[in-house]
Amino acid sequence: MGQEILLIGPPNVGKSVLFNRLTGLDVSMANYPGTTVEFKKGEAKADGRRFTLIDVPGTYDLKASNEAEKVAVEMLSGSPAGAVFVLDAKNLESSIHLLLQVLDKGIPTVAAVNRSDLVKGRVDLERLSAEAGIPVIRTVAVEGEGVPQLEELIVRLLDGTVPPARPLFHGWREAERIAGRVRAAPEDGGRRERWGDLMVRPIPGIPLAIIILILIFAFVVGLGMGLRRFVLMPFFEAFVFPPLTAAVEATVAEGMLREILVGEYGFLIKSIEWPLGLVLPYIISFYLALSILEDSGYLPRLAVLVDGVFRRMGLSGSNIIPFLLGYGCAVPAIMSTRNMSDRRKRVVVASVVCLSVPCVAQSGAFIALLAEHSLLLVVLLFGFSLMAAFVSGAAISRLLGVRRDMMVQEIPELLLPDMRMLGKKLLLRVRHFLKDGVVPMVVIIGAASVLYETGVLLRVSDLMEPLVTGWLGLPKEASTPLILGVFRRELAVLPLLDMGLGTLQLMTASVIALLYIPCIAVIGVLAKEFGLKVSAVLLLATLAVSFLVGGMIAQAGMLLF
Amino acid sequence: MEGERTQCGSPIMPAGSIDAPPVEASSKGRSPAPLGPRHRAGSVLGGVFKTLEALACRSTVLARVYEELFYSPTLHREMDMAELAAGSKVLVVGSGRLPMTAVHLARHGHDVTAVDNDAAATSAARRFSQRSAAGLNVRFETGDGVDADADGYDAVWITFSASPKQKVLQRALDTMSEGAKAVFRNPRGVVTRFYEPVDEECLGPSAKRSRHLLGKESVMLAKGACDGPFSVGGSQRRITLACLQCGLQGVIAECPEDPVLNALGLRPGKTVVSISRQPFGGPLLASVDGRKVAIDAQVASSILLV
Repeated sequence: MGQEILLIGPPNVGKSVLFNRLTGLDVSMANYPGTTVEFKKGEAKADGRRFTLIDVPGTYDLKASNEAEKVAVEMLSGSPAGAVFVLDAKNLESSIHLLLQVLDKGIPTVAAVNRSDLVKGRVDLERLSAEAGIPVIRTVAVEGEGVPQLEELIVRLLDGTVPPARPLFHGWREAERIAGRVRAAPEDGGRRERWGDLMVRPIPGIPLAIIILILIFAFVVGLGMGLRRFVLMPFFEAFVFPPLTAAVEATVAEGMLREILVGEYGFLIKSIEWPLGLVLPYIISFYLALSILEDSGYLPRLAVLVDGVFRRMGLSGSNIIPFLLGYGCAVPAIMSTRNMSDRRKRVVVASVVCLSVPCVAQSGAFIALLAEHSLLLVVLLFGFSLMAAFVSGAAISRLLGVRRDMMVQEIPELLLPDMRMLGKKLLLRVRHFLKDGVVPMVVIIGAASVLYETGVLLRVSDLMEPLVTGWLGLPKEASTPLILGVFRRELAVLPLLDMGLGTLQLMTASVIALLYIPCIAVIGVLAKEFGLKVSAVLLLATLAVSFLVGGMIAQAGMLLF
Repeated sequence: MEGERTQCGSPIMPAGSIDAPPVEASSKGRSPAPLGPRHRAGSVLGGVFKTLEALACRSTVLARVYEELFYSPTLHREMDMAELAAGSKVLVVGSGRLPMTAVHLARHGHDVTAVDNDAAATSAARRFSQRSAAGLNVRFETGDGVDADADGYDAVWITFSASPKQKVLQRALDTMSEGAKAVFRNPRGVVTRFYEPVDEECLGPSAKRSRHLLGKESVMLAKGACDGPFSVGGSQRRITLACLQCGLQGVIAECPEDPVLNALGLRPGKTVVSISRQPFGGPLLASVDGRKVAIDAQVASSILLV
């Protein structure tokens, strides 16, 4: 562990991009404020010297009024070797205002004026350096411009040749004065800016948002299904499964072991088919769509448009970001609520995400399960998910007495997503899934196939029969996904694939799986963020709600048909 | 007769934009003054009424029918809201060529002064009242609603197409004495796309309103009673960011001390441009120093402009 250098600055300034440039690590980045809510540490080298770089969550202020600001203040109060302050060339005043607060901490500090490509003319670096009393350079993080110079400055910080910053006057008056002396003329946004503004105007913004969301849904489902049906599954079926089966049959004698490996719940087959054949395509298509949305700067505009709906849940439109992230995975969704000021609101968002937002793996499983039967069922289920999100959000916020959130949010400029960046983000997320998603899934599938072949699962199914068959109207074996679903959300769905369920059973099972308890990783995050009590209550509540609603659908359906 | 026809039929062309107030306060009538895109579109809607008014302009009988049909119900509800005593002094702003509001108020025994910034409209209105409203207590003057002095009047009526309506209303509220009433007609629903409305956020909870057919409503404010952002009585009368019309700019006088608001550039002395606004009291989009910020309507109404 080398010396620590803090990377600090306002939100959406490109700190994470700089961090990645300096460390080679891949920290999440997006074109909306507040991407880094949990700080990231990375080992980096500059001029042969090792140091630890810490990406501090972006804050507008150091008043510690939310979790992200608290983290920032705590880290500044530690004993880092120095701090790299990142200023936003487009919004100098507020950057300088924060810089003055950071200088107050008396840490050796250097500054980088980032996003310099977005302003016409140059920021007067010499003057800024003289005013703030610290070395200042110019960077364009996305292009890698200025990174070598920044590394030189970091070496000086490590050597201790940069004196501790001396506190200056601070406050807005002073920030405005300094900004006025060093400012470059802001660039005219032109056509892109007009488009950006139009997208937030109710007309055409709202119809446009509906069209965009439908297109995204179609893109995710279409690309995912296409990848699965025409690329991944044919590949596995042609080149992977036959040699695998042949190899097992050649080496393992007929009996339980062979059944466990390549039988009905064959571990080797399912542990390739489920994570890689069924879920991976949707990981790719969903995260590609999400990355485009994130980098384009459309999300904050969507947030403005949906504010009217979200305020009924006691939230503000900005909270659409955790929801959208939740359609990927609930873990980052819950983490991203850290920059919300009210703990109860965080609980509302987390509960809704746990209860009624399917993660991408589960969505993939749903599509695999339902689309075979009818695409309408897929639409119906996602419609139900939206409705459940709204109803549960409104109910929980009322229960917790959450007061309406007032939206104040920066709307960043629209940017054309950079292809290289998109590819990098997608790769990162796919890698993350392969590492943190596939391995546990394979382990659980393995355990399940052992339990199945040894007859343990059947025994449990017998025990659960009254509930599963009587109340939910499902076949006895449907207890298996309910058991596996505790570990991974998609495993509450995938075992249903080969059960030959009818339309009503499909709908019942899907609704239960949707509302069912979140996976073990999410329960862990809930406990960490909100304590054991909240996570226990959520666990019981989701369990109760899923069986209640699922059973009601089954019973009503049986009465009707 | 010939001269009158050209007067009535000629298109009304007031000059100026919303930013340059002194020349407006359009002619009366539902024919909208061509003030930017929304009025051009509105002229389709107003076309029907324009034809009716042109006819009414020529015939005393038709004018009377038109008055009873379209103005009487509206005005009765407005007079009820304003609770005017008989013989009140009333100022009508934007009376137009066919001064139905002014004439009807006079017919109900009030002492009416009507102003319009279009001299041609004023003289047309004078001729009209000589024919159709002889003996009534109504005078017509050429003048701009933005500069009108409402002192001494018991009530001020601001007509549907008076413009810039918000400034005219503000001026009336500024100059009138305590307890006096201001009545204006606002478009509602889709009609707000064609006619300039006074923003909802600017009306305090004490505003009385009465809805009419065809996307209009009448609103009555009593000076001293209003506690909305307009805050009619007292010294704290200010326009807030919430009621800054889209496309206009203002300078912030007071802003709550909030780290996020302040960091996004919303601080006293900053020039802020209102860009767009969501329906149902949703957030509005403003721009400060080229930075776009979405602000909750309630937060915006706590930001006072100079």
